[in-house]
Amino acid sequence: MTTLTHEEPMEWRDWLSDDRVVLGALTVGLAWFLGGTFMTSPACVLVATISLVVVVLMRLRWPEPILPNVSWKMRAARGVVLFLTLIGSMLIVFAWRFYPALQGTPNVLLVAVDSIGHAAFMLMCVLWMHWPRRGHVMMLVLGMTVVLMSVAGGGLSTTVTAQTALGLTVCIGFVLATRAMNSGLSKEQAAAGPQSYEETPKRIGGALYRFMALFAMLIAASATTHATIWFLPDVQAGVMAQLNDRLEATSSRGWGGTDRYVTGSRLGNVRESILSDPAAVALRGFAETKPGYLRGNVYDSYSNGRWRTSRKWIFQSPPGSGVRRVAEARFLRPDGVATMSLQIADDHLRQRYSMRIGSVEEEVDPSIELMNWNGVEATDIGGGRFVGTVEIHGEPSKGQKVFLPAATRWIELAGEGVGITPHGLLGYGVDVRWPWVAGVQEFPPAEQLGQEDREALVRVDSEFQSQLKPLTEGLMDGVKTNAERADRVSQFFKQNYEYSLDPVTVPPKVDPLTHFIQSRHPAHCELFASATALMLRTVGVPTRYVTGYVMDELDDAGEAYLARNRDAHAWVEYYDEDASRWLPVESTPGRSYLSMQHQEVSLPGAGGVGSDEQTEDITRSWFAPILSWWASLRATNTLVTLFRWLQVPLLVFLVAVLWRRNRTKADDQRSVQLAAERRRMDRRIRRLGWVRRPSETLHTFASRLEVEAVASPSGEELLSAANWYREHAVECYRGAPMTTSLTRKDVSVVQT
Amino acid sequence: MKRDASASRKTRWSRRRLALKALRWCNPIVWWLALRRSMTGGSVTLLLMGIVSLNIVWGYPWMGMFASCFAMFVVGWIVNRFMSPRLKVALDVPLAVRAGESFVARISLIHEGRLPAMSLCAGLDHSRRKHGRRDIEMPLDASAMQWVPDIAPGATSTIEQSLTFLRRGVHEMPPVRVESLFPFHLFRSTQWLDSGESMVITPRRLDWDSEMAWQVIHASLRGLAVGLSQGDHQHYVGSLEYRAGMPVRRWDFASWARLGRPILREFNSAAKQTVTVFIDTTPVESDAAVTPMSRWRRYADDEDASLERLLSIASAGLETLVGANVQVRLVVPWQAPSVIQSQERNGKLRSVLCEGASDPTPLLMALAEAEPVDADTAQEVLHAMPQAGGTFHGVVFSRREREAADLSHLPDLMWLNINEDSRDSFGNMAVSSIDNDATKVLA
Repeated sequence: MTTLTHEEPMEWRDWLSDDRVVLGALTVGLAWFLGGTFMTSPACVLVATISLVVVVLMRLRWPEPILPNVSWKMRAARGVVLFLTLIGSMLIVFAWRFYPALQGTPNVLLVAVDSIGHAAFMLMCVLWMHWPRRGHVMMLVLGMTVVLMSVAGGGLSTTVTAQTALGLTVCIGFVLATRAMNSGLSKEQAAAGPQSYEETPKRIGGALYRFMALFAMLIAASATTHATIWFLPDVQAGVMAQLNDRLEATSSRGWGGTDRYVTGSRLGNVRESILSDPAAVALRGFAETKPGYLRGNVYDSYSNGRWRTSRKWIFQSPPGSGVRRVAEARFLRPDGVATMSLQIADDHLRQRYSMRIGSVEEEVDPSIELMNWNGVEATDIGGGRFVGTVEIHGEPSKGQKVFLPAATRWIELAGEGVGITPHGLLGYGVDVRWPWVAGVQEFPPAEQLGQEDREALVRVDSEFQSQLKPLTEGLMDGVKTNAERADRVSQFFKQNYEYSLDPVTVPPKVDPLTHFIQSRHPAHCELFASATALMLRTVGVPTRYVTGYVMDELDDAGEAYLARNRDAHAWVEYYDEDASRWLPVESTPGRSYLSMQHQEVSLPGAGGVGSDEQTEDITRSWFAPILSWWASLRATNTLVTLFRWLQVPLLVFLVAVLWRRNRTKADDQRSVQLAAERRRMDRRIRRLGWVRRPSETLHTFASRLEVEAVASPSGEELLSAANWYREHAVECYRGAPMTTSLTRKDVSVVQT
Repeated sequence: MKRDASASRKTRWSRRRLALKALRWCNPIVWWLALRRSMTGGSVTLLLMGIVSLNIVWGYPWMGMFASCFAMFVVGWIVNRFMSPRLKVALDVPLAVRAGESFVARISLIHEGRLPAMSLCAGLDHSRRKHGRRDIEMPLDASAMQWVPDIAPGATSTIEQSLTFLRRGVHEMPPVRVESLFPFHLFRSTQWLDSGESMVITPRRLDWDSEMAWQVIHASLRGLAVGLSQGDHQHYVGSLEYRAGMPVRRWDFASWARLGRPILREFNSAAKQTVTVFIDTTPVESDAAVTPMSRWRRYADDEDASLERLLSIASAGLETLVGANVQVRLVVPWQAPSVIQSQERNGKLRSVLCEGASDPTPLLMALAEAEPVDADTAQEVLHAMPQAGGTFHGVVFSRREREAADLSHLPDLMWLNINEDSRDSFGNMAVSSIDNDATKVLA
């Protein structure tokens, strides 16, 4: 208490500028973000508040810094307390987050992200309480880890806006933290020794320069976010092509693989997905009829037991970039605001995207387009009738994939910059935290297959070519169309093979597919689908291998259809020349392809008119755009929009202020110009072999040049230079207007 | 033609230097090392998190994190380089300091750049010295590097730093290390500014209480000084009555008391006597055995502890003599620091003269670079000592016995051996070997 009596009472301004307040605000912000992501806001904010209170109390108790020369006993005691609190906080996190999560259906990846995020936050608070004055550098690492884990846990969408806002916020928070941590050190160092400054009349405030630097960082962060999101698909495609999808195969085999959605890049992936926690729900769908087969992965080429995709996210591949450009994927542009109401109403912004790709003439008929995107049931020349909608709820922790029926005409979802592959897959830019609604028609969208695509999709390794072609050709007696060919192959497997999930031992160095065809052992869907795809290719039918889920089970309440892990499945799509569409073929024994069936549905009409009156009122009223904007307004949007519109004027203003403040006096400018002239002249004379020594005055040097000019071949030039130096010396002292130095032309004239 | 050849040679050389500089600039290892040196906790965190967020290629949603880490790292580094200050340094230090004693150096940083220098940390960096790093002891607390928030273009900032030189000699001052941590302490650009200043470090101050030999030496020197200042009976001419304007240093108090008038004694020698001092640094074989104090071996193993002890005692003796208003001429057979103004040369004998009751620093500075001499050199100096001029009063500080030198021509020399422990005449007190006490010598 005696120390308190000697201290000046702090004003509110002092508290605001105190580093601990800055660190406290950042800690509470982190707590809010982490808690919002994992639904632990009260606990996280409580921990942050406790640490803030402890720090403030310590500030009141020990206002002066603790002297470094404390006894070793005190240091040892502090070390022990620190160690114990770190261990204790880890145990608390284990008991709070990790252990209960393991009791239920464990999603190892999500549990890990959750636990690491909370542990990092707790450790950060503990470190802060131990170093209340200026924190510890490890707090930076832990704080950034908290943000990383929160983002990985689904705290933020992958849209450009959200990621840009995150980048800007992280920039501001990080520099505030480093500044707060180091300013304490600076004060200690400043207090250690007396200093003096010669004040100049125009002293530029450091705050302005600091703000300028921060601003440059924000602009760079914003630009980098946009560039990253723009080029990332290319990079991802390149990496995937280089690594041959090995990562995907490895991750699906590893500890976290079974907690992800089904992939199928390696033969056996689908079986693993089926067998790992078979009853766990992967997707939930709301529809009038069974949604049936939902596609999530499509692969193009097979070799060595693996399926690979050559047509991944290839948006902007420049020619010669090394990324194979079989067919261009593209961004989908929103066609309008979503009109379908969700099962659980929410006010987040959703938009409708048309899933049409390809260039069949009748598909782009504007009248059909208009009718279809509004979801009105109508006869479509290309895609058949509209059969209904399905609202699918995914699990964000399982991945960013969007599973859809093959015949999806449009989709309503939350997201921005949504990308679609040539396979008709979505995922990029989709905010999978929210459900997506698909409008389904009878047939998949039409697509014109290019020559290059066709060649890629009928390619079979020579090993299989020799093995499968005779077999397949034997089945093709009298067939004329691709549909008949697909049916023959499907029937071949259904009649001659058995389905089984039992493991099969494949001889070493033998492809599992070769072994399957040769031994005809009971197998699971992957082998049937793979063999079907390759057999059809041997007879010139373009095929692709598809994995996903079969959603045909109604839940106990009878409200939603479920796709569990055991519903993971693999099948084939072949290209039908007559229909110009990719059609499914199911060759797994005991299975038949299932798609949504037509049923009379009542859907919102054209122009966004809702089915109920309230919606109609709102959408027709004058403040509908304002309401829509208000509903879609989020903190991230506000930050990004503000920054987007303010950055250029602010930058111009800052540069102007700095330039204005940094202007030197006229005399100084003249001196600088004279010095520049002198340096230029010195350089020219140096080329002739004469160097002005530092100890020489201008007049002395001029005299030396004059003496040497007599014997030198370039005497005239030296004489003129000597005169120049003498005049220059006079100018330097007299303050008269400058004379121009010898120009390059003059020198060359003298030299000639 | 000769001029042309010289010019072309210069041009070639400058081109070669330019090419070397360009090669250095293009060397990625140099880049990496520079980056590594300039990283702080903040930038290391950014690097780590940037690497972690590279997992975006596998689909992790960390684009914003990657962008912010990348932006802060790159922009921070560029701004840090761009805003690194252009400084000149000026040091204000004393001319000479005793070894082992701390002093304060005033460091003036003059900013010559056009943009302000901000977030600076400055201080002397002894670890940057090419040699003799262990000669300097600097405080390890926060004051070692001091914080300078900003320096405006053309302005000067001054900081003070205390440091201690542990070894005697002429030492170059360590360069000033200036770190610029702008912006936000993300990176540090470091520059070492050499002031070109050097300092003369004189022998370590004598620990009077623990050095037993010094007591007797001190008494002897005081006696010598008193004898010189008051005059001796062999030069006594007579007494005379005081008159205004007469120098009053030699009062004859007894006569004054007897006659009731102030009486002065008159001598046929000058009142201002000069003592010629030679420090015989010739080593003795049993030096290690006779060095009793462990404190002389405290700082460096390669230091000649016996010599340092000799020089410390000698410097204390020189201070005693000068303080007693005796003019001292110190004979220096080694190279004395050139900064000493009062150096004399008489034949082969170099010496430094110091007036009585003045600052003895020049004498101490002359001891800064003292080194062991061989016996022959010492003998030559001893022979030449009387030639230094004036009435000869010689004092020799030595580690050797008096018999080790030929002093036949110098019967009146005061030989002070710092190594001899004589406990006979002074009970248990250590006594230096003085053959004749001061009065005896002068008689």
